[in-house]
Amino acid sequence: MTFESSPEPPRQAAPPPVFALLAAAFRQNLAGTLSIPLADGNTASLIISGARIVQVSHPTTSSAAILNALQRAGILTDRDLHRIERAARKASIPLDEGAVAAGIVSTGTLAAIREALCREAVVALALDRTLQPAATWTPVRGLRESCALPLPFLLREAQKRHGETPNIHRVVSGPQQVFGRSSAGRPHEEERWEDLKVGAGERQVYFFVDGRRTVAELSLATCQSEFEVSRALASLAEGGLVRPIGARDVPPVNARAARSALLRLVALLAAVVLLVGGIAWGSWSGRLAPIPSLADASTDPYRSLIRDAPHQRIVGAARQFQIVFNRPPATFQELLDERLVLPTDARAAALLGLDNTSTVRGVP
Amino acid sequence: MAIRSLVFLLGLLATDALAAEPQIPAGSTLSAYSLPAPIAREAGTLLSSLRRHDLSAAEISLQRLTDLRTEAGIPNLTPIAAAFRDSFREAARDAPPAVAVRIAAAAVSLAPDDPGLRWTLARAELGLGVEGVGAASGVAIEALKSYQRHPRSLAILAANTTAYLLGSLVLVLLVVVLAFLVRHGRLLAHDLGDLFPSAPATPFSAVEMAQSRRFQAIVGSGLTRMLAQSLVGLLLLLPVVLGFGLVPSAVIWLLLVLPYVRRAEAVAAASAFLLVALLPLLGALVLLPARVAATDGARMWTALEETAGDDLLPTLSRRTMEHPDEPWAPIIQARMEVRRAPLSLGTLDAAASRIGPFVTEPSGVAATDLANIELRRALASCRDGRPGAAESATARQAFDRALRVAPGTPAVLRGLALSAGLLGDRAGVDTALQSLVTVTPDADLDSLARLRSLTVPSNACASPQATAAELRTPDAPDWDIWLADVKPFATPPALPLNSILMGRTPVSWLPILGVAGLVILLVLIMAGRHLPFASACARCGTISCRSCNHEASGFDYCPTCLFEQVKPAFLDPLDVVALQRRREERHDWAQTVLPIVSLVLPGVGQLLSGRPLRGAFLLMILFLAVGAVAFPVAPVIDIDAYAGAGGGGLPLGPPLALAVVYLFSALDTWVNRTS
Repeated sequence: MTFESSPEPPRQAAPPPVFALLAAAFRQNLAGTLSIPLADGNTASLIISGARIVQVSHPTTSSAAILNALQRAGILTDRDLHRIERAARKASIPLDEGAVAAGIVSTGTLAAIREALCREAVVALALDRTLQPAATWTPVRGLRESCALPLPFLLREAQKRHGETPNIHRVVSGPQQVFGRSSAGRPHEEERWEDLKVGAGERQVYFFVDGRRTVAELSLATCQSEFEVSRALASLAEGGLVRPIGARDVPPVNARAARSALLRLVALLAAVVLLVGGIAWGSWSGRLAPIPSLADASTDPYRSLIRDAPHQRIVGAARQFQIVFNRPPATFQELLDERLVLPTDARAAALLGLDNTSTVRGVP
Repeated sequence: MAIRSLVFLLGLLATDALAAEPQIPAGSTLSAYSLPAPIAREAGTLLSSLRRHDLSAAEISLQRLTDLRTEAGIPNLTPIAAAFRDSFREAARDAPPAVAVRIAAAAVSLAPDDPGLRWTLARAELGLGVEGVGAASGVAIEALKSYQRHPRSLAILAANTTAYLLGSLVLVLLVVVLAFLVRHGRLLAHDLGDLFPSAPATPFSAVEMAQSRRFQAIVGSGLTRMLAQSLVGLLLLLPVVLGFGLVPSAVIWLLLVLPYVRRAEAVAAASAFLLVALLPLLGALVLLPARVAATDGARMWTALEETAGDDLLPTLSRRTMEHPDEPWAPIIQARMEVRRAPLSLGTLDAAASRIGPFVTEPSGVAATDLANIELRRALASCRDGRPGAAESATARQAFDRALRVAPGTPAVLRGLALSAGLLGDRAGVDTALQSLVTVTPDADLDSLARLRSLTVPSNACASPQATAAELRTPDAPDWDIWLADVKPFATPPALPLNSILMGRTPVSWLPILGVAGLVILLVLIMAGRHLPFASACARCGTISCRSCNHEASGFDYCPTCLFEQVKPAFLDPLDVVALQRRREERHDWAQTVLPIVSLVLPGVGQLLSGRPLRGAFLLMILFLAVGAVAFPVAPVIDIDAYAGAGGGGLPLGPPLALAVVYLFSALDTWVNRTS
């Protein structure tokens, strides 16, 4: 149901045509098909059987619409859509059932969403006075039921909405109406989610109210009908949680988003260019990090420890050898045989004048 | 920079090969230990018998060496003790444990202040099995205590331990900080991004998603994301590029991620800052023995507590001239003179004149040494079995003065007993000996009996050498002398691989950086959640901050979780749960990667999964073990008491540590696989 298609009806006027046919079908227990030409050239059809609508053919209840709703609800991603397409093609089933086959949604969810969409479509049709439905009261055999909407419920819901419409209209002027949170004007007051004393549907609408989204956009975001969103907004406005915002106060979303995105991009680019440029300039002018050099390594006192250790081992070993044998070692091999040095100390031994061919120099 | 560092490291490995003129380090000349000839001969006998595994002969040699040491007035024969330790390890392998313990215990007398001998004794006690554990523990405690009397041993032990620890800790620090960056980098990027003009809020519905999927939007958001990530990368790289070096850069990185760390990570971060502040100290410890080795202080300490050759005399003369108020050079010079001619009056006069000006020196060494010289003069004045009365009285007065300077010193009490004996003052002898027993309750009775017999003037004059051998010197202030010319904890000029680790940053800045980091951490902990930093939602992992939350939903809640709460009523709750699970599986690369990382490099997986202390500990053990494998021989060597190259086969510790670390990491990964 949209606001354009359902202006406030005058009191005591004749019921809308679809509503009348549905009421007749219920009263007389008729079974058959209602064909309803739509304004956009499409035709909707409702199949009635046993005081229930068992199949709804309408653009808003197609497989694509169901998947779209699931996507809007955040339950499907683009990657999931590809999986669903593959599963549906493989099993030769509609896309919405492919979602179940792919294991992404349960049959319960699919049935619930289908029923919700069908209910909204039927109620909207039932309240539309501009439609010219045609009824064929012949029971349809061998039909696969896609929903089971009891006619009494639908008629009562349509009547209820018809009654509520004037009150809602006082708050919500139309689908382009924008609402903002009352708390936005009190930035110093921390609003807590758990303190919201509203129902689940209203809470959902309140979540998406941001001072920019229109009623129609809220309807898309929440997967609720515009009527349900309007009803929630009216209730929230009554509770002082939201307030209507004039068209002039609403910033143009796209322009604002594009501008802020561009501003961010330019700022980041400037920062990166500045940094890269600074580093490049610093490197070019030699003002940045010093290049580690082997000269640094040669003066490293820690490396000197490791470098000098072999020399010290040779000296210590020669001294110990002198105590044991009462003579200096003749060759490096003697120290090695006594396990006083390591094989890798040979170079240091040679530097100290001790190798396998010479005798020790400098020993008293 | 990375290429530069790589080239540098490769060059470093080849430095020795590239060095055109290899140099001999200063002081590395093949000279013998400065030991008196009889001691050197007996030491040769001892070590030869140990090489023959003849422990009976070794025991006799040990006794002789101890007597010779006492006679020569040498406090410690540390070089011989070191050589003994090296040879005894092999000899004791075939000996009965009880014999090994007896020999090791006797060897302690070679160098009573050398901790190494006590460790050898403790190992020998352990050879007795369970019954030796108690005794080994007692000896180990004694060994630990003896380090305070042997600064060189403690400094070399600390230097070698710290050398391995320093490399390991620096590596752990870098890995921990990098792991923190990986863990919290997204949060840092979020807050950094918030410094720039904000982009449109996260799309929550198909319409908004559709808008965000336009070509310009996709290109724009992709470019923005790439630029933001580049900016974070550049900012993180900036400290290194600016020449701060890896350690200061790590501190800066740690400071950047500090607002996001959890409690355990805060402890790890505090430890990291503490480590950074202590790095100069660790570096100083590694370099301390090398810095001290060539100083006058170290040579004087060696001369006082061990032995000294005549080559020290020029140094002592210079030292006396440069530091006329310092007593140690004159004391050492006097001792060396007395050791050469223990009862020569001329020598004793010269020695006394050297020490005379320093008798008030607070440790009592100078006063005791002077008193010992006076006693020697009294012994040298013996005529007809009786010492000169005047010389004896002077000796007695000298010991009384020494006792006033250093009350209760055993060396003074021994001398006092002997000097009282020379004067025939038996009451004075008894008083001194009683005091001696009081201050040295573990004094052996043989020694006391010998001392008492020598207090009889005729005995003392009959064997003046033996009497003089009973004289002792008090403990000198080891650390003051050894560190006389060096500030031990002065900030070192560099850290290992300084150009990479420190860049242009002076090492002296590290304590400031570390303390500043600790203060900032404390402030952040105290400020707690009042700070507007980004955080990851504990439920869904979405990263957001308070302002972004308000921007997205008007509430200070994770927008993703809030969006989950406002799903349309037609959704089966199980489908929402399944969706969350699918999303977690898609994003939870950690489930796969972390166990592999933990098994490849123990500790890193633990760090990345939020167990920083365990991870850091595992990494430290790992790096220590790898360091021990890569550098199996300790870099700092005690050239004055060389104990061999330790070529006793493959060390067991490092491979065992590696095995334990890998096993523990695997077990830890298995136990925590679901967390």
